[in-house]
Amino acid sequence: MTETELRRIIDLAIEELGEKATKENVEAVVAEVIKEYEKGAPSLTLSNPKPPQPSTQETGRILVTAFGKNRVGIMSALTTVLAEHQCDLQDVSQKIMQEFFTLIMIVDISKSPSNFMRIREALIGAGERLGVSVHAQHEDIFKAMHRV
Amino acid sequence: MSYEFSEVIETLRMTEVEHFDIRTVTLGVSLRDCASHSLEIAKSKIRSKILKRGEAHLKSAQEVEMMYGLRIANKRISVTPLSIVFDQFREAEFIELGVALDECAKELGIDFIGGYSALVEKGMTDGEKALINSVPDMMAATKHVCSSVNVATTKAGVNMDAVYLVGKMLKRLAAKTPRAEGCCKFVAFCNVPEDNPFVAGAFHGVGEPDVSLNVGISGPGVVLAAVREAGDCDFGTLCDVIKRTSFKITRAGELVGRKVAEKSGVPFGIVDISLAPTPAWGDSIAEILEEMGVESVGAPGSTAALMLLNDSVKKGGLMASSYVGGMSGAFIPVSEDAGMARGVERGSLTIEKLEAMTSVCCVGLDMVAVPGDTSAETLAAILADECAIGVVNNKTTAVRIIVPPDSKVGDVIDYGGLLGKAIVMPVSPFRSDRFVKRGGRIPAPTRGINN
Repeated sequence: MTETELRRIIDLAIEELGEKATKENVEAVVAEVIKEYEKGAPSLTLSNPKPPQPSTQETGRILVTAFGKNRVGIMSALTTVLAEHQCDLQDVSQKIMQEFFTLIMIVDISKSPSNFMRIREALIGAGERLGVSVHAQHEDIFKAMHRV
Repeated sequence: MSYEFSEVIETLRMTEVEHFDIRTVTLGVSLRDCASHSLEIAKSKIRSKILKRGEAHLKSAQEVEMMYGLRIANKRISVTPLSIVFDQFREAEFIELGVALDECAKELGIDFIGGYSALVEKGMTDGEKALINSVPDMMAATKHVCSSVNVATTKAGVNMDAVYLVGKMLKRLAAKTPRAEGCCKFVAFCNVPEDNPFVAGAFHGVGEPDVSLNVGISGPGVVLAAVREAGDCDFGTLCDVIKRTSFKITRAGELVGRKVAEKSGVPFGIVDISLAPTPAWGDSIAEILEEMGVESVGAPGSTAALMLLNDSVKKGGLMASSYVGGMSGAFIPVSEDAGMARGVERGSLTIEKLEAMTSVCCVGLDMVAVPGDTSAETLAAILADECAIGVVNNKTTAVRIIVPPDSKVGDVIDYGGLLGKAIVMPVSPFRSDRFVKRGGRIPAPTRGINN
């Protein structure tokens, strides 16, 4: 199985599970699919993946990154801003190295009544009040640089 | 998560720490529909077209900058070479057109507008001669206008009459503008690309559509960091590291270019994948060569190191974008690159070594200061040498040379900003006047007859 196929299975599993997707159940579903795949199951529709989107196609998702000295309430402040703007938080990854805090969030802003610029300003403002530096960038830039 | 932690951090590190930015998004505007026998009508047509197109361009570029968190350092405009559209005009009229372009740039708030140009590789019309002769006075009257002249191509050979004319004009240009500043905005080319987004050589070629958008990426800092991280690896690995980096920054560049083009409703032209240094430390081509193991830029090995850098940048970039154009390689300007300037200061970089390096870089002798007593004939001979390298190797070469009056070897002229600090370099005292004054055209080499 190629890396692309594996990625595709994971993406499909996440899409299928929707809001119920957690790390555990995605892993379980993927493991099951791989088992079926190895048996040569005919039901698998891997031969027909969606055509790749042109690179300028907007996905409606942004990546929010926050860096700074760890303190209470960073995550809460940022997610409050997202909630105020009705943004859908799709994924979060956080690391604390020594006393430094790094947070990456993938946020879907396509259903938000606010535009990207307003959300970006609000997030940066919240970051400033907490002394962390916040960057908000459209997902496309990461897709262009890291996905072929 | 659909992106690895390290991938997200890598992008941020590039933009926040390693000076990765989009050096320029340049809107090419055709002035061919602005031709008129009346100077006043021509000026008003130029004005309305540039201002209308320019405003939309700037707005879109700013939006895209915010969207991707990627700085677009310069938003510029290039126009059809004025000599082509207004061949019936003479010095005084050309200067007025230059002033009109300058006013547009001022109103739009852009730093440079390119296209005060002439393409004279095979011969000059009276209009083209007038345009070249008007450059010193035009530069004295404007701030933002860049000028370029193409004096040679592989297909046509070297127009030595134009080369000598440019040599003589450069002396006047240096005298007419304070600290010879005008010389920083004038470049003479061989095999000029018609879709180059970088000034001073940017113009909108005659084969281009009404408007088009070209992007110049930057990123010596990103490549430097990658080469440093790779450590003492072998050449295969080293080239691979550069290729990967170039691929990523080109993809980002193309995305930004396409998005700006889409937003302002302009067809996307090309990505110029050149590594363009700035005078900031950590954003220098010379530092990359030194990181590869050359003690100081200009030392033996520098040409080989630059060749592999230039080639790897191209290979990575070509995989990342289908529309690579312009110069696409590695610029080695002297004053605009802190490491190159240090090489001159240390004495490791001479004009002769620089000339050798230009045979493998993407342009030529760029932002080189020479003593004020350098004669017009010697300047022309230097330009002729660069043209020879370009013509025979089928590549773009150029000369942007500064001759500050009364300056001596070792003098420092600090232009500030992107232009940096120029240190006056020694030039051979031996003269080639008899050669330059022969007149006529050096024929195209066999390389040019390739049908």
